[in-house]
Amino acid sequence: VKDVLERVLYVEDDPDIRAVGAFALGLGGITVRSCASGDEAVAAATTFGPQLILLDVMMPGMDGPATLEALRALDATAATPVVFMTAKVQPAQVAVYREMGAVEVIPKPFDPMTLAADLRTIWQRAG
Amino acid sequence: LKPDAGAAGEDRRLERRLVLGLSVSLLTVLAVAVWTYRTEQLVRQSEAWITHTHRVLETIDHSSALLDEVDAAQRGYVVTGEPLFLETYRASAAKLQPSFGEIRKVTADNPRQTRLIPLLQALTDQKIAFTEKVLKERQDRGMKSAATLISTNRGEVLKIRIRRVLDEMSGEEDRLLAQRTGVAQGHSRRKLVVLGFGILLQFAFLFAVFYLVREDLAERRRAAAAMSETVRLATFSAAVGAALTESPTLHRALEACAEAMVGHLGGAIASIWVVNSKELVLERLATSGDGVENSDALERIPVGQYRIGRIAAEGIPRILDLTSDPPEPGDKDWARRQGMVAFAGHPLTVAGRTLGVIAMFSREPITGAALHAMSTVADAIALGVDRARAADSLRASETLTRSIVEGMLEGLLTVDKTARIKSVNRAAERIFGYSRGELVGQPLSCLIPDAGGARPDAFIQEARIRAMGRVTEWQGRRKDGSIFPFELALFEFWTSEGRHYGGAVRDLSEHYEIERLKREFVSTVSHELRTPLTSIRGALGLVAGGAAGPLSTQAKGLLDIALKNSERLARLVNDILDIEKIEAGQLEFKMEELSVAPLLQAAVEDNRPYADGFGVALAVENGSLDARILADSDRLTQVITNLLSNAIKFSPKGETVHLVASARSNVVRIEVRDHGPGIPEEFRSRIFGRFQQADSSDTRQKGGTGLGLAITRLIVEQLGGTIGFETELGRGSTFWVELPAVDSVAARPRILHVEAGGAPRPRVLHVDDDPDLPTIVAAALSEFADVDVARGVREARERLAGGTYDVVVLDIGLPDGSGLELQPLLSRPGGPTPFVFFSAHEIPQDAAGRAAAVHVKSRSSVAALVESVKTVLAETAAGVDAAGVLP
Repeated sequence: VKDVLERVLYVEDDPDIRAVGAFALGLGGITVRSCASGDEAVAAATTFGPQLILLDVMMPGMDGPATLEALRALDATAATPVVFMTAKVQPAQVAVYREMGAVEVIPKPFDPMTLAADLRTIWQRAG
Repeated sequence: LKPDAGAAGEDRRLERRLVLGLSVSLLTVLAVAVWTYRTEQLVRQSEAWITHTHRVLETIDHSSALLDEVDAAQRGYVVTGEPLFLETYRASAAKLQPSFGEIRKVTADNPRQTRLIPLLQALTDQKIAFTEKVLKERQDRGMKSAATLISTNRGEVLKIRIRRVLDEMSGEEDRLLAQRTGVAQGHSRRKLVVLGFGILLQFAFLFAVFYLVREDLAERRRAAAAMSETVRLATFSAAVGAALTESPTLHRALEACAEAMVGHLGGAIASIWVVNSKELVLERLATSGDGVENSDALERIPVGQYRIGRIAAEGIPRILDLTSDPPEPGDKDWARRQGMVAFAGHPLTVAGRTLGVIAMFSREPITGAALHAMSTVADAIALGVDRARAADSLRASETLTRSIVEGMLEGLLTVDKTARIKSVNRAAERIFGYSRGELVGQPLSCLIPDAGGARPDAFIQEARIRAMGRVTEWQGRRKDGSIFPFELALFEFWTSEGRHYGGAVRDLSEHYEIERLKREFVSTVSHELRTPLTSIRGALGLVAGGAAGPLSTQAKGLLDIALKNSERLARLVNDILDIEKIEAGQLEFKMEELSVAPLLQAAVEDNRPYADGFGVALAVENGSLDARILADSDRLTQVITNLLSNAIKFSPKGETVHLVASARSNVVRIEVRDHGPGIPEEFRSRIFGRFQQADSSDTRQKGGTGLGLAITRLIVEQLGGTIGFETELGRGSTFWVELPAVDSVAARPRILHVEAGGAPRPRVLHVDDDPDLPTIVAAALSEFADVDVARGVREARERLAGGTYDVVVLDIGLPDGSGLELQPLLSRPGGPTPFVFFSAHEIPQDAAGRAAAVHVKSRSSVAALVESVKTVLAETAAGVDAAGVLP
């Protein structure tokens, strides 16, 4: 197991945000697998083998929590730390996300320049 | 009254009896006295006669003695010649004659004696004559001759004869004496008998009187005794009655009842027990008396146990002899020590329910009368207990109700059928700013200015129809004079004082204020967002357009993303502001006649680039349709564009979106058909709502704001049209818009209802969702106009599309929108239709300015509305006449 975060599975339905997010992570030297939906993420997870999963909460079809549940059922991602990214960041809501198994919640809009570093810190802490 | 009359009657009877008895007695005494007196007289008479007889006998004896003296003196002289004898003889002879006279006198009343008198006289005369002769012989011839003469016995014979006569007379007198004595004795005896009888009779009367009086006294004593028992019962009952009616609490009343039992029935301890029906025990609520309380005495007794419990269970009164009755735990010794010998208990029952027991211990045996007395008050006490309990539960329920009513946040008013305020709760006081005392009894018009018409009951009737059982909006007036809107739900109820109305009142001023602030906030925020947004979009546009130098491919991609999303944000802000404007009736509509076909063509051309982006084709069907509509060209284009862009977004690549126009009877129908996924069942009802997407993510994915269809619907309705859709999952959706066709509008004459042979009647459209009010208004208008009713905005559009009205009565708060949305339709060229607002809502200034009249429901009345409609019609008629173009 590597002690540096290198592989992130990024699930985001909005193409524009996905593009910006992926760009930002790539900028920070992280290998990103971008998925437009939960289904796509579940399909890609095992092959990709992410060290961390960055998950949008509100998505059509499978939403963030449902995707998290599906990923937990996979061996490859059963214990992978998950970070939610959402615009709904009221403290009560954050508590719910943590309850679901998220290690951290990153609010939208995020700072693309610090996103990679933030995720690294979170990953280290969770590690 | 009756017993008194009886007593008086008895008094009189006794008096009559006594008077009668005494009178008879008096008469008897009188009769006896008279009788006795008369008998006494007879006795006296008899005695007089006897005395008389004795005198006669004495006289006869005296005469006889004189005769003997005469004879003896004669003999002495003859023998002796002694002159003394002669003298004696002379004296006696001289007395003899008067003696006989005496006899004659006293026997004059008796003929039988009188008859003998002459014989006696004659014999005496002969005797005297013979004696004289003898004496003369002696004197003259001496003794011998005289002796010879004597020896003839002549003298002796006369003497014997006289004696015989006298004897006969004596005998007669003796007989008379015997007879008279007998008579006298008879009288005396009779006198005695009469007296005795009289005395006996008196005794008998006295006895009778004594008996009568005694009987009467006994009767009186009995009556008095009975009376005192009645009085005792009555005082007891009265004491109990007073206790029950005058005591402030049941507890105090029962204490007083117990005191009365002790005081009037001679109990040592009296107690009153009341059944607690929940626990089935008797609880002692009151006790009284001088007896020392049994320290072990129970305060609570299960029904059915001990004396008191058994009386309650059986419902039968009892007197128990404590000296012989088996003791109950703990009280035998107490009873003995306290000298209690008897116990009486009586159940308290009302309508077959045993509510409790009254009980009494006594140091003397308790009589049936005492139990009877307890029985007479038991009902009253039972009723008292029952009433007090009913009052208690009523009070409890009243307290509950009052607490609820007072605690309500909603105001609660009740009025009687003349609209006078009967009660208000605390919230109502707070809402209207009056205190309870200031409101109760006042007319409702002090709170609702609209209620101040000439006939408050008419207002109540109108309010009933409008507000009964539902929430409606009214205008209220506070104590400080300020007018404010409130919600009212009216209900009806009956009391003994007749029909009442209750109104639940909710102050809407805050609600409206919040609504206003919210709208203002959204509007402000949206406007404030526009400024920075403009800079962002402008700056991005410049950079992306290469104005600031060449860009790398990556930079260009990121800038495009930024630019696209800033434009989306701008659309969102514009949409929000549009909605606010339309809802506030501030969006200007420039209504004009439009040909449909070119409009559709233009719309398709405008959207073709967008469609191309999705790989979707656009096609117009029936593009040569020659139909004209009345609409605002820009707004209608906005509508079609919205529908087209939705259809394009949801169409699979390679599909075609069709734009179809068709003309129906009065409307032109424009359809946008796609072959998309269709609209999910659960989403169909909300599709025209705000920020409603079938999936929340669609906004972003499809680039919409979530406000498109909401705005589209608002615009269509403002244009006087209707919007709808048909959809099938997996097959596609069709959104359609129907707008009134110009021909159908313009072709209609203004006043077109001409009854066969009748005068033309104006037509009125009343737009109001209230189920009853239109009926009232129609009835009021029916005199001079025909009224059609539309229950909502959509129906109103259909009505307006289907015909021309001379005046429209317009409500604002409608189930499917605002009446304000109908304004453009009413102000269309070719003849604006006058309209009158009749609404519970406040009318915006600008809209009010366009209306012929404004009536706010809570401030105005149907009558005022009817007047307005009349005025409008009259003005229209005048205008038509002046123009000389009666269509």
